Amino acid sequence: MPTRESDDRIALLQGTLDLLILKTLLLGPCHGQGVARSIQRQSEEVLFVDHGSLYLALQRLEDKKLIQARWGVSENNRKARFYSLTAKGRAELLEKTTQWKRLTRAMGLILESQGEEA
Amino acid sequence: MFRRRRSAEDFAEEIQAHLELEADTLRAEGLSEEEARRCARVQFGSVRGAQEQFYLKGRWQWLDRLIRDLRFGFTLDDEAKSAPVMVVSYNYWTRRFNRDPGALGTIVYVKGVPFTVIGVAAQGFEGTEPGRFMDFWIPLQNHIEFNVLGNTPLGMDTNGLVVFGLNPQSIHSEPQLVQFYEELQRRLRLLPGVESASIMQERIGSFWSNNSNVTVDGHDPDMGKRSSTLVRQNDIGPDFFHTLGVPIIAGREFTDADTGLYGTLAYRVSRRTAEIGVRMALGAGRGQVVWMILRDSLLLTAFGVVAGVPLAIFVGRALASSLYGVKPLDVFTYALAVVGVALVALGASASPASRAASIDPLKALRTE
Repeated sequence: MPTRESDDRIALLQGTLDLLILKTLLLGPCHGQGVARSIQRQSEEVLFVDHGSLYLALQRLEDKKLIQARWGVSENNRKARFYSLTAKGRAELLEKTTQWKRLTRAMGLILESQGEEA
Repeated sequence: MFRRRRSAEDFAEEIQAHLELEADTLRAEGLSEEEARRCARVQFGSVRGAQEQFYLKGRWQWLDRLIRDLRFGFTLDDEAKSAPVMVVSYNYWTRRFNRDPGALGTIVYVKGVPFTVIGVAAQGFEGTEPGRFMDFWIPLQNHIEFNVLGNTPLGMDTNGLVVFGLNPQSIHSEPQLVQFYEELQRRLRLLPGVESASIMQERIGSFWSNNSNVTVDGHDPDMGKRSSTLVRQNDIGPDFFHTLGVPIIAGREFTDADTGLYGTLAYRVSRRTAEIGVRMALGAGRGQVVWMILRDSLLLTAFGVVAGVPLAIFVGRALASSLYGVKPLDVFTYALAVVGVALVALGASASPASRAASIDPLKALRTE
């Protein structure tokens, strides 16, 4: 997943944007700009979401029926397309979160082990 | 079976909404109006890139390209491979190069961009606009990355230089470009006797006339004295394919389908020659036999139409967003197709049925 890699920001790994979007939408319906801002805020500005990629990811998730969308009005009275999680999306989020936790734990074990040896 | 595809316009609208929301947020963070809008655009990255990726997602790209080629007569590959070249007018060739054949291959600078002279227009040809004299013509280069004259959104830059925008995807997403392109087509293909002035008065006449001048930089002071208009080099391409190419292919497909239907039905009737003989030997009249055959063929055709029309509607809807100028539910087209098929069925059955009914029953009975 492309993100801008500048300063202390980190590029996301392939496929992680979908998971982050699903997680963000767990909190409730949100438009794309809100999702991008939320990811940046929650990651303490470390992760920067490429907005163009975000909308393509949202469309991909919608095509997979993991999220659904409807046009509405934002808090500052702007027209916006609001996304929300579907039941399938919640299940996917649960599954991917578990996978991600296993992966990060395994990575941590290896990296820490290498660090000790070094 | 086929889910309605989200339109490119809807996606473009969402991006626009995003840019406004982001600008609002940035303004709330203390940025000025102009800076907020600029930052929102920068943070988004390539709006056009996102729209193109959305447009191409899950499409039959080969079909898409084919249709685009047929409609516009050139491809993005053509643009990718195009070089910055120009054809100069005969008068300019005389004035600047003293009719020296060595002018070919010379580099001429326009707005600081080098163009290679690759040809001289015939004497007397001064351009497509009555009363305006052009010094040179350069081919269309619409894509920003291929456009040696720089970023020209909506086909024009801030210096009043027109670079015609003909990227099909952009045309779809930008109504102004659709309008501009249509007008461009009309203007470049004026028939003898058609007054340019009348078109100038129409909806985007002022857009054209106010922005058609090229500013030529100091590399070539002589050219700076005159203005020239950029015109598309192969402007005849789109109309040729659009007006002749598509109908030829469509006609070919229709003929193929009808030939197949005719062959199937004619074969089916010929296989019933013996049966016809038996029926006639048992006292059936010629008219009764012909009507029987026609009725069966038309019934079979009707079943085919009943099964085929919904399928055509489904496929048409699935392809609707991929096609230009084709409506998935064009009643007239469907009616025409059904009538056409019925006529072919009638023709395919009537002739062999009539022939079979007119022969001697004994001969008909002996037919294998």
